[in-house]
Amino acid sequence: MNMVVTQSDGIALMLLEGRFDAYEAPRMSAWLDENIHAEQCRLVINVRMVTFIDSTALASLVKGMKRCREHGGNLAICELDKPVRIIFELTRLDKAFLIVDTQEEALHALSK
Amino acid sequence: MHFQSKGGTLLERLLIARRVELSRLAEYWHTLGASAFGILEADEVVAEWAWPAPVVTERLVSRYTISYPGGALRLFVSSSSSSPEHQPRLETDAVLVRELLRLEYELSVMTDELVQKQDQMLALYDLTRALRSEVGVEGIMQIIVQEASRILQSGGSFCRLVSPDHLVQHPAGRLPAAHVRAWCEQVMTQRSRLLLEAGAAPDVEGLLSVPVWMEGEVRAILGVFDRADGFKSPDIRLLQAIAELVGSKLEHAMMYERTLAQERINTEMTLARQLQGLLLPDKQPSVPGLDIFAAMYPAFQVGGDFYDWLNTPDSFTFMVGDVAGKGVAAAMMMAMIRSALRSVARFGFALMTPEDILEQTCEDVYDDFTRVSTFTTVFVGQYDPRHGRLVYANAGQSPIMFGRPGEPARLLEADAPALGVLPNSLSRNASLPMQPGDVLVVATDGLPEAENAAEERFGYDRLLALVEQHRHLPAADIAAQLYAAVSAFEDNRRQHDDRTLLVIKCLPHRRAATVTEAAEPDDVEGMLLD
Repeated sequence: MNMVVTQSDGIALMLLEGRFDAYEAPRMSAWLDENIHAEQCRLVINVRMVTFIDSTALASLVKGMKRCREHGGNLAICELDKPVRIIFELTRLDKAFLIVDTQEEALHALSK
Repeated sequence: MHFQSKGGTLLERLLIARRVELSRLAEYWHTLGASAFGILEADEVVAEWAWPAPVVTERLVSRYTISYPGGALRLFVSSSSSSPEHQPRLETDAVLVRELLRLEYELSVMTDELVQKQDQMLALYDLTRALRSEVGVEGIMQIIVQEASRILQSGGSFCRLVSPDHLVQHPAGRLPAAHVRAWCEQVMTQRSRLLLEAGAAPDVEGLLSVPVWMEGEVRAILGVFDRADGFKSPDIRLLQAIAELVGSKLEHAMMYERTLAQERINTEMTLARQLQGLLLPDKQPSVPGLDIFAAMYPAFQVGGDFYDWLNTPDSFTFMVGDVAGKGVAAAMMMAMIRSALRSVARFGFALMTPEDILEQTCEDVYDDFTRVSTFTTVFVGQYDPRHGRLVYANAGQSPIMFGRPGEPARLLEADAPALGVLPNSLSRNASLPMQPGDVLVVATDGLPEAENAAEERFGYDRLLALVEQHRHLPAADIAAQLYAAVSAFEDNRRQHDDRTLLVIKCLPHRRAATVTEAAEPDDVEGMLLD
């Protein structure tokens, strides 16, 4: 899985590409540990190019959401393609995460 | 013999080695009336045999030049009266001396090489002995750097393993790691030695670094640095010999550690699987009016699936869940969530509905699940045999499939995320009257996520179609058909996640005996009703 992180007005914007599974989750988890803190607690994850996501990967996203909220920020997930959207809907994680259609909406939602 | 030392140690060594023959020549010239005989290098006397002589008239110098690796020499003779035959005689002697020195030089080179070889063999023998009892990669690298420094008489040394990237220095921390890595990159790129003179690199007084080959690849780099007289050809050969030994030793050590790590994983997996197996009920439940079959088909790496039930005369409470994660960690969290669910369901069994059980369990486990960054999906169902009614609550579990005669099979979707995601459970009770022929299949995501060689997933539609197709079969057969279809789909590929199936089939009413008739002592699982 490719992971590219940029910054947009104080919001971290992460673009993921490929298969996001139990083998990749530790990398995400380590990134969150290192980069999400009081000064950086707003994160947008664009999953447009994610082809597969498993429960361990979802657990790392839940961790990210909790860390962001703990520091007063939030995590938004955007551009879910159908297979990934189905997983979020069936597991009802769409009730827990801030999920929006476009990256712009995600950035806008977190900039409030 | 008298030497004018010019610091030419090679010449001195050669002349001393042949002093007997040279003295004889000198004696002969003395008998011819010479007062001195000797050797010149660029008009300077480097060796001389002299006898007292009242009058010195002339010095005869050979025209023939005696070449040796350090320069060129001529012979001279001093005498009061030279005769015409002295000059040709001197030329002949010069040729003779040249031959003597050449032979001596060749002998000296051969001896040096022999001594060096012996030193190298002794050094390598010492190194082999030092390494004999060490089997770990780290330990070997520590010994190598210490011994390389000692053998090559250098101030320091380093050994870097390429993958996994690991650098060991002697003395520890002597050089900035970035400098060492830069040299290593050069050696790796050029796939050959790197030799730097004193002053050519910062921080070190001379450096010699060689590649360490393993399985045809440069997998490590060995280097020595800091030696006042610099590193020469014999040092290169010696370090290369050490590198060869290191390569073979490290290769074995890495293979050993890989085997050990694999063994450790296997042991861990066996433990996790045993733990998981111990936590599952060891027999199928017996509930009036229902045909029930439950099974978990574990993946190689334990995936965190679990199921459990509490069976009382008044209700049959069952749960199926999946802890996110793998291995021992997942198995341990599974044990925890199972205990929490059981304890909530057991002590409040008469009052607790599925949503209450999830709510209370969520409160109990949320902090622990947050600490270890995981969550668990859980489906809790409660069947009332008196009224043939199922009440359930679902925290993120899927797929749950329901088939009824005459209707297409459908998914019963979760209404809330998994436990551990949010501080409170959002899951609410749903009610489902069970009629004869109805089939409820509670499964985990290992089934729909099974992949074939083309990385196509089995998916929900195929599962629903199978439920519809095999609904008429007994519960155990429905489970067998589903599992077999998924296995056939992935065509012997390794199963990546646990697969759990709990199939409940509602029997025709005539078989639905009263609770008191059906509930045998064996059916009361885990309940301390006394």
